[in-house]
Amino acid sequence: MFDFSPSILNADVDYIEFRASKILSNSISVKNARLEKVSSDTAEDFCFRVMVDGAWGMASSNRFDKIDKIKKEAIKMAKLAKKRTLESFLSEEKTHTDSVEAKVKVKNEDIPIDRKIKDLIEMNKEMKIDKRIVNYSLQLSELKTEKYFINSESTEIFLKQQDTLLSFSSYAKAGILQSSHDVFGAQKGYELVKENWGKGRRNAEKSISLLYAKRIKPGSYDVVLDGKMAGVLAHEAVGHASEADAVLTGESCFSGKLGKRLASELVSIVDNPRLKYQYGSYPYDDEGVKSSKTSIIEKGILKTYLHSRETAYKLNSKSTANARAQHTNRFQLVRMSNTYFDVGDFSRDEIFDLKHGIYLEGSSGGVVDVSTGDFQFAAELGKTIKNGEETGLLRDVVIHGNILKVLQKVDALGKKIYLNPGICGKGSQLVRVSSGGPLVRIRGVNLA
Amino acid sequence: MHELIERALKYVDEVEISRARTSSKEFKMLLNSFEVFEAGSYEAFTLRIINKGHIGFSYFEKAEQFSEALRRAIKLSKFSKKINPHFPERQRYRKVKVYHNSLEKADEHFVESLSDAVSVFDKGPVRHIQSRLSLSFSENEIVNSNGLEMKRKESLLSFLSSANSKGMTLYDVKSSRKLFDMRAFSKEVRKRTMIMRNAKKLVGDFNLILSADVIETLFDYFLLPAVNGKAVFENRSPLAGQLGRKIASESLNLIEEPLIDYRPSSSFADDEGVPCKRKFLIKEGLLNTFLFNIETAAETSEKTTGNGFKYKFSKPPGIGLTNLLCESNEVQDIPSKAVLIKSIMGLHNANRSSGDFSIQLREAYILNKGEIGRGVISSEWRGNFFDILKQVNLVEMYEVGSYYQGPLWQIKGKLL
Repeated sequence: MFDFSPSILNADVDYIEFRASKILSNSISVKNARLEKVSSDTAEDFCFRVMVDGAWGMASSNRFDKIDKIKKEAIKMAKLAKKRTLESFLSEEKTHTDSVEAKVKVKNEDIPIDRKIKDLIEMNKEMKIDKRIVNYSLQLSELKTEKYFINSESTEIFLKQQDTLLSFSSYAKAGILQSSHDVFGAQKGYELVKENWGKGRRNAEKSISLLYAKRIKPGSYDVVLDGKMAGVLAHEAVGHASEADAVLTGESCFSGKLGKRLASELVSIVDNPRLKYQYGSYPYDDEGVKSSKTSIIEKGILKTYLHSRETAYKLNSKSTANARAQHTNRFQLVRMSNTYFDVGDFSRDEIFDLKHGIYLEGSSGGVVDVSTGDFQFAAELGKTIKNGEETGLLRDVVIHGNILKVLQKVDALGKKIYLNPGICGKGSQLVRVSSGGPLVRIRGVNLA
Repeated sequence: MHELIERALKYVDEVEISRARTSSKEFKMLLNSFEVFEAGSYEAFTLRIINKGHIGFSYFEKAEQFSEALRRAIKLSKFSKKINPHFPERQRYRKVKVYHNSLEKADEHFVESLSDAVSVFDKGPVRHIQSRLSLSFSENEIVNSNGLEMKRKESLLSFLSSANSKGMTLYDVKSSRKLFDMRAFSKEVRKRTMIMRNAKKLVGDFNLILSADVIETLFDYFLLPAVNGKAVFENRSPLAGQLGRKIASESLNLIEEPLIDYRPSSSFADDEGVPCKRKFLIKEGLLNTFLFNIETAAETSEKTTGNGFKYKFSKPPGIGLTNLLCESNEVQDIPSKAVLIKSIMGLHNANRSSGDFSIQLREAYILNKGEIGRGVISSEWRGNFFDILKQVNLVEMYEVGSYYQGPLWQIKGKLL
């Protein structure tokens, strides 16, 4: 538990905040049914962010014996910046004093390491489904985070959470080499391991399937996206373009489009940090703003951008509690949390009712150029749909296009949302997020 | 650190302690205004021990935490495989300049330089989006119980510039160990943005010329993991079993050259204190070596190649590379018509195991008789990295990237 006196904020500045964090990370790797490695480390650091005459300065360190010196450094940085700064302020938000500990069913620290190793080796063994599997591994990563935030507006927040991640990888060889990687993660404890028992076998089956899958003939197809692929579309294409810092600079293709139709009326896309157990959830953002659900697109209409307090002030709006920093030593940026397509009312059979189409399953990642709206996402596995039935297998299928056009072509959404954990990169910072959606059908999109 | 080594030797067979001290500054401009200015100062240690053939690692942030770190490393070593590694003995290092005092100027100097660089966007149709000037100074020290003592002092200046015109944003980054002309770099970004503002999609079969940045991106994604000795040993590499075999065009020589003064990737030693050496990765198209660090070498009964680099100070060394040179006597003229690809996006979607990729051009130009013409954007490029290696021609266009240096690569490719 952090124990700092509020006098830590004493300074002749317009605004000051102090953040500190302590992160304990443990991991256990098993490979080919043998223990590979166990690691454990703890890192602690802190930072001050100050505003002087509308200019920002920030300084960070892990030297807790030099707190005053670091505070002075932050003030010095702000004074240096004020020479050429258009005054920047923060939107007015409610202040909070709160302490939140995310609950888990089984705390990771309550399970002895020998038991964890035994469990993981058992799970790993299940991946050796035949001799074509030449390498198979599994890693358990546990993260325990404590965060402290206090600012000169009387907000004081203490957060404690536990994240657990299971990563499966398998390599299959039969002439060529193929591999498959799956990650299951949540704000959960050791219960995550039990919940994902058996997923290793599925991972290995996928690697073997890829050995016999073909590449697609490039062209325009009707596609069905599974929850993971739909999530990449929601996150990469819509989420990033709706981040208000990109809107402010005029970089985002969503700039000036509030209230306009960007998608078919079946489409609603949400960013929601308050979902229980999800990898991108948080009760307060890194500016101390209480989180809430934000509808980015509602029935096809762009309703709001995602904001920090700073972008909200500049765009005359309110913070949506999306200010996040990878570590205490980094400045908060506008970032997503759990971003997903909201449900529709189509059954699976109705969605797959295609004479000829492609079902895209799993995701190997995606990327978008927010200025042009051009995006590109890869599926782990593709399946040809003929007369509503899944037939041949496809590998390395990439869907590409422009977000402003593709969202208009969505014509069916399923009834059940699937969320997938991920790591999102922006401005050299990585944060934990999740993304997802139900089955989404899109007509006439480019695949390569 | 020597005292800590002595303390640890009461409990374990071999010990290595690394210490890193870093200080950094970052000055940003967004549009025409200063954004947040940041400063950071950190000190941290890592400890590795070898006990009865097992290796253990731990990270700590204060010298007072050493006893706890030692206990943790010993405990973790019991869970590691018995591979009988050894830390290196005292080494003699060759010299390379990786620190320059031109970066020791006052903060005000860099703030002025940043303003000056951004002022090139004051007039004209290209709008400044963001510029970021980052400075870092680090001192690394490694001491081990076999007599090794290594100290490395490094400086680094990185400058990012991004600009927008007609809804097209272009950005680029340059890094150096010493001061460079950031205004000239911004002018270059402005010039390229001017061309790219009218960029169009191109479809068809073309001679594609890959810039140093694209070669590095492809190398990092496909080749570096594939020559990692551990991945080869574990059958995870598509190059397993290919040592000494032809994997590339005969004109291709790829050489690791660690000792080039002031280059961002230069280093006289890796993060285990092993001297970095010049070596061929690919020689006349033949795969010449795989890369190892102390731990992976011990595990696979090989010798370290001096490529034990940390991705993050708080983690044990993985596999990394210094500079990559391309040398060849068979460099051809630039084709009269070609597409020069400066930047790509979406490579992280590609298949490392097979080498298959389908990526999008972010910044490319039509080349007419070697002259840059219209910009190309949004075209999809589909191919296979290992096939590209086999058909590479080197052309009379030389670039120095962040770690690649040499002629650019020309291949035949299809744009969709």
